[in-house]
Amino acid sequence: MKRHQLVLVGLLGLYCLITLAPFYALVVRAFTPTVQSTEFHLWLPDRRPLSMNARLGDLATIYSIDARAFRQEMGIKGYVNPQLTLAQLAETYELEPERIRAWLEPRVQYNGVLSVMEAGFLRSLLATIFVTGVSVGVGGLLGIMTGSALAGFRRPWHLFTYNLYMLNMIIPPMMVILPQYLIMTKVLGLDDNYLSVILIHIKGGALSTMVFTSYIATIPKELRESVQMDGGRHYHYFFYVLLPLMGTPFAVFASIAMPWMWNDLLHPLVFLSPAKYTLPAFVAAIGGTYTTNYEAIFSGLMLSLIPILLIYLVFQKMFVRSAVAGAVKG
Amino acid sequence: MAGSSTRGAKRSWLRSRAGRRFLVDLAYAGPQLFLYVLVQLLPFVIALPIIFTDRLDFLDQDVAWVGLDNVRAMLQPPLVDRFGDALQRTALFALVNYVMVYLFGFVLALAMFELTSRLKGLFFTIIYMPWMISGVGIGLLMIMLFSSDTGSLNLLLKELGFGRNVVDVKSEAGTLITLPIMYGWKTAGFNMAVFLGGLLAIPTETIESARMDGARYLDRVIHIYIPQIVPSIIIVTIFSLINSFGIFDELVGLGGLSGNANAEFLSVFVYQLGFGAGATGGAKIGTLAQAITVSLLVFLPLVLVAFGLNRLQKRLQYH
Repeated sequence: MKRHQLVLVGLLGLYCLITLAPFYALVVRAFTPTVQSTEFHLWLPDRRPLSMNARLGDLATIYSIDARAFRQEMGIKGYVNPQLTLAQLAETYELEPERIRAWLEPRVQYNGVLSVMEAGFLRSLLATIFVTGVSVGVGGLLGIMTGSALAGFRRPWHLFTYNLYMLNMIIPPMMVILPQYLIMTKVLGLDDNYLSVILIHIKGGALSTMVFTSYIATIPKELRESVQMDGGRHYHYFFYVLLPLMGTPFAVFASIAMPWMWNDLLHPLVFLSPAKYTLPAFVAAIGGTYTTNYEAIFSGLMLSLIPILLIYLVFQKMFVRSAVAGAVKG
Repeated sequence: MAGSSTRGAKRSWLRSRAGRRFLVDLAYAGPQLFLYVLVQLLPFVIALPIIFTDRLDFLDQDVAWVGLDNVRAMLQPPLVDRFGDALQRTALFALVNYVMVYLFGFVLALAMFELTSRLKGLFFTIIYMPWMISGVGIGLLMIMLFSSDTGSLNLLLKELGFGRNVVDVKSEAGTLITLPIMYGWKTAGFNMAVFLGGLLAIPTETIESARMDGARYLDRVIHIYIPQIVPSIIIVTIFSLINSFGIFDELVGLGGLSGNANAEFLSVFVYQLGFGAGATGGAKIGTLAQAITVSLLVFLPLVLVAFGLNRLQKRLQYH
């Protein structure tokens, strides 16, 4: 019996190590210079210091360095021959070599992270937190309201409405995305507006309706009747009795819907302009712009994973519990 | 006279107990329902009739009814090859992916079910973790791990002496092997949770009595666990089917929209038909109407299967 458990712990532990391996490899690759990406590294490789014999043009290509920003920073007017080495540059334009080094060194040493930051990572992160936060909060509240009306299916239209929400599962997103875009821009005037993505997330669907309706149906009728006996209105019942009981179903809803909303690619891609992309679209755009700068691409992926993994680890008890509980309810 | 009296009757009904109840229900269910109809059902209703037209895009002014020509276009050159390839890739992926559901999710759930160690919570947290990665992220991780010459796994295998470029993510076979593995890795925690939920709902007396009767482990799995967790199996099947056929984000990460022909699964094909031309600058390969037709052709049968399974599950639950 004891040995049997040890084998289980060993095998599951091994699987967990394999599960963590890609995350580890990602961290290593996020700090591996693109020029060294054909070598295997077990740990963050040592950086080669910036050589003054490197050509400006090569640096600009390999590290996606903005040559115009460099000229502006150095006070150089007009065209710079990209074939010049940094040492020759310093000589031609009478610049301190240290000044060139001071500006270029961090851009070469921390190329990935810096490129991603300059591409607007923080703005994209804030946008994602805003969109996901509002969507989970408002979507949950609207879901509870829907559930409180439909629970128990007392009238035929309750069941009909419930089935309408179930229909959401069968509508391929790709099929309705263009009419949706038209309605957002032409009818609602939400051109390039975060609200359009939020509306898609909070519109209701199979998950929120199923979770809240089935949970509210288990709440005893007597609670509602006792509020009515005391002369309370329906909103008294809703705010003082129902909402405080909604912790469990909200946790199930939030822990399943949050990763969906956070990781939604299609709607931000179509509804928003690149300057407003949320993280998945931002990461996809980085992959498109820095096609061969692997360091920047993998840094972008790593940075975009850190926030959601932090949220997950902080609330991991809730995630794990509702994953199993939600499955039992179906 | 008659009109005013029915209006009066309506008003008095709204004042009655049942009428007030209806108004309250409407006040609570209304806001989300309005939104749902506006941004989900209305677009669906707008999109449906387009499949019988030759509409090029949404700005197209000159639209004619063409009957079932869009369906025929998929079965004729020049589109039949691309459609066929995309369909074949997607179907193969769905099949392999469904096997992965059991290889990862079910086996892990069985192991977790037997485990009594305090490490259980830690294991669960780690196994569920990849579920947080976006689809694009999975695609990029695949590029990172399995690319020829730069993939971390390829470099590791070379270091260990297994030869150069053992896997290549951009080859036909490479995509079809690595994608289900990475997808299985991502969804392992979710599927495990669904199976584990089913296993935990089995009455302990059932398992104990089988153990008393001397049933071996494998017999218990086949004759007790599996029949008891049919609802979980159905949920996982529906999820796996819909997700496999709809897989898109991962393929974007793999470069499906920027020239990787082996990543052209059905959803990418639909995207290219509908609005692929703008990005690449090349000739448009199809029309919006064709895109909507393909997505309906493929998803509608799927949905019917999913609905059938769903009903089956509901019936099983009540028996």
